[in-house]
Amino acid sequence: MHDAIQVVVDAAAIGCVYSLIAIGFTMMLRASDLINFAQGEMVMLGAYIGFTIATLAPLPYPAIFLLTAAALFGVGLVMDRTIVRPILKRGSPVLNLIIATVGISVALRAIAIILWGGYPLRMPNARLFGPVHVAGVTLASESLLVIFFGVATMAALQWFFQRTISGIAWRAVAMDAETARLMGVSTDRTTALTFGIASALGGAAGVLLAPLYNISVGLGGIAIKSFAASAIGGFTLGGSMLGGIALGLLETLTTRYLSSAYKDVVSYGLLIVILLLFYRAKAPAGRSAAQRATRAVGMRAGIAFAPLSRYRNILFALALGAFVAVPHLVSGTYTLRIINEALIMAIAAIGLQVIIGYTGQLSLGHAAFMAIGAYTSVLLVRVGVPWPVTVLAAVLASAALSRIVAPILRLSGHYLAIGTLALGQIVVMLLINLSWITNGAYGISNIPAPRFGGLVIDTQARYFYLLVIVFIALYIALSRLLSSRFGRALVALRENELAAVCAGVDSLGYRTKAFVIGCACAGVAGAVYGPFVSLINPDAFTLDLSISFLIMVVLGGLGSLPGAVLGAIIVTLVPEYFRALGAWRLVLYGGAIISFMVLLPGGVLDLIRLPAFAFRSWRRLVASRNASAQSAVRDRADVGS
Amino acid sequence: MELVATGIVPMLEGESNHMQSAAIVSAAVAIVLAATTTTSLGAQSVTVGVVGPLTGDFAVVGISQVNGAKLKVAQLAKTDLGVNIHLVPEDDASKCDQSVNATTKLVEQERADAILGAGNSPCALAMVPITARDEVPQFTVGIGAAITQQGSKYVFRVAPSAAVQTQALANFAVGKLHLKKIAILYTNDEYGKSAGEAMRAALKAKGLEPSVFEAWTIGDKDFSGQLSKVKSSGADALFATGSVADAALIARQARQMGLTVRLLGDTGTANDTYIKLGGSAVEGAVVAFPFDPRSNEPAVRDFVRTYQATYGRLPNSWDAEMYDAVGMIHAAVKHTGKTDGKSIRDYIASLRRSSGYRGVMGDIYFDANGDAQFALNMARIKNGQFVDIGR
Amino acid sequence: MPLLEACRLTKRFGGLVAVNEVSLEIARGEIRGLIGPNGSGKSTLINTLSGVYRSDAGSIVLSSAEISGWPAHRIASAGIARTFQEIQLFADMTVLENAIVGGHRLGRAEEKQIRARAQAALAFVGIERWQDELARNLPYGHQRLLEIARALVAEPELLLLDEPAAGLNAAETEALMELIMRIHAQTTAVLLVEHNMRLVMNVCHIIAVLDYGRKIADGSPQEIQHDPAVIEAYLGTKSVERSAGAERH
Ligand SMILES: Nc1ncnc2c1ncn2[C@@H]1O[C@H](COP(=O)(O)OP(=O)(O)OP(=O)(O)O)[C@@H](O)[C@H]1O
Ligand SMILES: [Mg+2]
Repeated sequence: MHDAIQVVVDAAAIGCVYSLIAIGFTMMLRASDLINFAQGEMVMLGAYIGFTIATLAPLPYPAIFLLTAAALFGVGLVMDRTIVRPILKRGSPVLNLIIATVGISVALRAIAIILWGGYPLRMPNARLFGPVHVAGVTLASESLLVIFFGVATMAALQWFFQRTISGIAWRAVAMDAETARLMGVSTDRTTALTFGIASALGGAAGVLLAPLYNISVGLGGIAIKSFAASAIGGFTLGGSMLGGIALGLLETLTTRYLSSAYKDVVSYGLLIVILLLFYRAKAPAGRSAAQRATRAVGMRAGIAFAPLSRYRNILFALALGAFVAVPHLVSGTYTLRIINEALIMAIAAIGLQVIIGYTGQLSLGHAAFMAIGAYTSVLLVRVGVPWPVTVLAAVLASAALSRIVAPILRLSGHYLAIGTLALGQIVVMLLINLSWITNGAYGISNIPAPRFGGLVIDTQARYFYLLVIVFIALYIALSRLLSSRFGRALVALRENELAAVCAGVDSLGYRTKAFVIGCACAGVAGAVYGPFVSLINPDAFTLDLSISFLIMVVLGGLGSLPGAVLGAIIVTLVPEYFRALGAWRLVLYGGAIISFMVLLPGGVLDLIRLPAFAFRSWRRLVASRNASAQSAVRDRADVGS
Repeated sequence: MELVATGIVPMLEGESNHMQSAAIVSAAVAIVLAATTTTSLGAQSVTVGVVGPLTGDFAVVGISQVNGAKLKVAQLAKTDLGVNIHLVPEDDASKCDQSVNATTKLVEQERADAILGAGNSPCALAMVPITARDEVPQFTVGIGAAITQQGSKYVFRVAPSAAVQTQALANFAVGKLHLKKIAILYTNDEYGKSAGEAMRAALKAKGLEPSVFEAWTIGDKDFSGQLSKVKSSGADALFATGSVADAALIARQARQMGLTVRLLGDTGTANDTYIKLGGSAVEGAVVAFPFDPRSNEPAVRDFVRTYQATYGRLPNSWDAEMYDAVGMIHAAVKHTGKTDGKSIRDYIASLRRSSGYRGVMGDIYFDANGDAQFALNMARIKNGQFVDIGR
Repeated sequence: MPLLEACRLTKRFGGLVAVNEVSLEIARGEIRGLIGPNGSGKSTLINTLSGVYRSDAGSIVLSSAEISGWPAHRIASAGIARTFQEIQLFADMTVLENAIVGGHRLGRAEEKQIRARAQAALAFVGIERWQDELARNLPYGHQRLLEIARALVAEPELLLLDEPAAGLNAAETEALMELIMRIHAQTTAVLLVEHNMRLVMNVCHIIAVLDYGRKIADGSPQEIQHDPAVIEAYLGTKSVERSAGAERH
């Protein structure tokens, strides 16, 4: 009985925090279709700012709470003004916005380390009252504090949404942005409000967590769970509140009554089941032509029109020549090593491009499939299987796993994102826990260099050639496939699933194939990654890596294989180049991501496309001018006659 | 002539070959900038790379690594004009591929003569083949056993390994404190697992089984599940090993649950952060104590005073270990007159118990594997202070 | 034997029975009309026939194969093509690409001729000039034609047209009427849902009338025009607003 009360109070406390963050996620999603990866950093900032306020002035906790929420409201507004609005104004795909929030997140974490140091901090005493005794149970005041403020905040929010003009207008926009705009609701104002409130909620969660836990840069990690909570709640406001509490209870109960090592496997597994039960797409979704394009300028399927196809062979020969020359041109193995790493990333990234860019399925679990490839290859090499054979096995393993989990592709949109994210987490947890085969958290070290019969790939130059061959083979295979009937069907599904399905395209079938192919590429990348680093461990394949792949795909240019390659190069090289700058490098990297997303809506490929686009519009302009000049001449002739 | 401006601040850097400068923006923390100018003609120049997590969840390790090393470099720059140590920190975000990249870069582009790192064991392990091949001595604070078991002559562990510290802790807990039922909680990462399993082995050697052996996952904040198992097992002691923040949080939550067991801590908890975060909950905890910042040794007092003046906090064992590593490198250059990696390595490998390097960690020397051999004392937290209670 | 035979089809949305035990036969090559006030379930019926929605009860037999419960792509491959009341194009693909996707069901074997076929379909509806334009840039009327062209590329046996004249002007409607006759001439059966009575009465052989999800009449244009139940449904007291709504359409 005592225990039960304690459990419920603990669960409710953490649940309230989940709920607050989850409501923020839901608001973003409803108002601008955005998964905000910076929401966790709002939590982190909330804790740090609350800490700073508390150390600077001995204010009572409620004042600290309100000040922090207000400060984060401001942060949200600034984010909206400087980053969100410019991106939305350009009508860029929403993925650009998502990636921009990744940039914000990366930069803010680094900034927090710079401002507050990496050492965990403890909130100065935030006690309003001492421990409370209920029915002989001592309840920690911190937990009760969290519940009190959490519930109060949600009540205030409820009042705001139900009773105030702004709140009602917000709900109108969330329900039907188009109609709301016609009714005179300003969408700009709504988005600003969304970012303000969602960030303030994140901050509130942070300042609530601060006395409960320690304050550290990792505090924002809680946002992943909260995102899951808002998914469980169906991405509705009320649902998110309940989803948070439910998740809190679920977690506390699993730790208590099931294995703690498998706690995350259980809760993420359950999450996937819940999503599949309640949130799979029922009918294929159509899209009216008036809807905002989800892709960027100039992104084409290359179905009836393949640019540069005439020069393709020449281009390939040139590229090949350049590749052969590279090891002779760069001095030292370091540069070559970085190029090699970029190539490995590119192999995985073109796979993800098929999944995201071509099929429009947002996968946040790509790293997991790379992990499967890496572990399969390495483990087989260990038992004496020749390396080339293990590469095939790695591909098969990744493909097989992706095929097995393919039913999650029945989830639509953001549910798929959270489903794949959960999958990635599960794989990492299994890699850690199935230590009899994976050697757990230690990872597997001393991975030998790849070997083809007598040829050992033991220098970076050799590795480079190996990677180039693998990469080019994959690239050609993929681009052939994508410019065929198959690729056309994928693009059609992405553009308008309803229309595609009614033209006879098997949606789930094609999306599954694309997913399996993409994941198989990750498997290849994994197989070449192991010997490259010489050590693999679960840490290498976390959500961070999945997000990096996502950045590569969007940053380079959504829906374009060369774009994915460019993205892989940039994402590998930029942080590497600034490595010596410590935390500042991530500020720069995050800033670079944000500016790319703001300035180049179609990814880095825009830099190549824009001149071509400008040239074409110039030609068109000249042509129309000539035409009008001629008609002017004719008009004059008419007048003259 | 070389101008070395050394800025020492809690966070670092922007560093080029000729100038190091560090500037820091800080809302609450004051900016401390100590600039010393040293000029010397014909000085020997040594480049020392640092590989560690300066970003991410484990930034505290990398920052300590750099802070400790940086302090020693700055002090040496004042006292010894003959050797010019140039420090190049590289962030690896505790990702092993990045540690390997950073190491390659340091060896090749910066021509590093020695490398400190990496902060976490798998990454340190991934670096071993490179430092062995290129004959660059590597000094790591990683506690994983495998690092020094690769047959490399170039790797030195300047910290007590998981096995060493848990053995000492188990000896003390069983022998002196007469504890019988010890519960073990560990993080599901390499650090926690190394220490947790080593502790289990150490207990087994004494014919004991841990009363609870449970993991938690990085990022977990609610340990009530694990702690209730500890409670119902009737344990008389709890060894929670992982990040210091988690260990402190576990202590707090244990006390909230009314769990009065004795807390045992690994070397990662032997620092101020543990006390700050744990508060009254960690009173009475007994921890493996490789470095005592309150020692009366003149060298330690000097180190601690300067460290506090510079960074505004007490040094932890990572700081001290890296501080000593730089000191050892310097000593090697002084003694051999050479700055190449091989000479440095040979000198350090030749240190013996009688002729150990006298640093703030004590007299340091290494066994054939490269594991530092030092006496590991225990400390008890009393009135918010560590009190050395011997072995 | 009819080409398509739907028997007692029912589709519910929660408590609302959008299609209520509707039976419908379509013969090969015939032009079938389907009319009814707004919200009477016409689009829902088309969605159910084309597999976009799964029916809750009843059967659909397409040339002796039971297709109810089949997924939409499979029904499309079996020879039922359709257009949408609210235009559904691949907005950022070219007109020709849109048409090519329409030929997907032909399979890999036909891949070589698919471009030519698509161009032929565009020419058939009269928008071949626009083939390289992005679909989103087409004028509205042409977008409707493109939908029809896309549906025709794969030479379906049955074409479901959901309000193809909505939003068209008189001249365009006239052209559409002529187009439907030409489709009919190719022996493709058509199910035409329309509010434009002139169009329906002129081209359809038999017309079914839905009201509140139920089929209330089925017969030749003349029969329908004089059916009291139909008049009641369209003009009756209870549905004044609804027919006003219909006018607005
Ligand atoms: N997806 C859906 N979910 C819930 N109700 C629906 C859905 N689709 C249609 N309905 C409802 O089913 C009924 C029939 O709608 P349907 O669109 O089939 O009518 P309709 O005859 O095509 O009307 P219109 O002439 O306006 O196109 C309506 O009451 C409508 O609101
Ligand atoms: Mg309709």
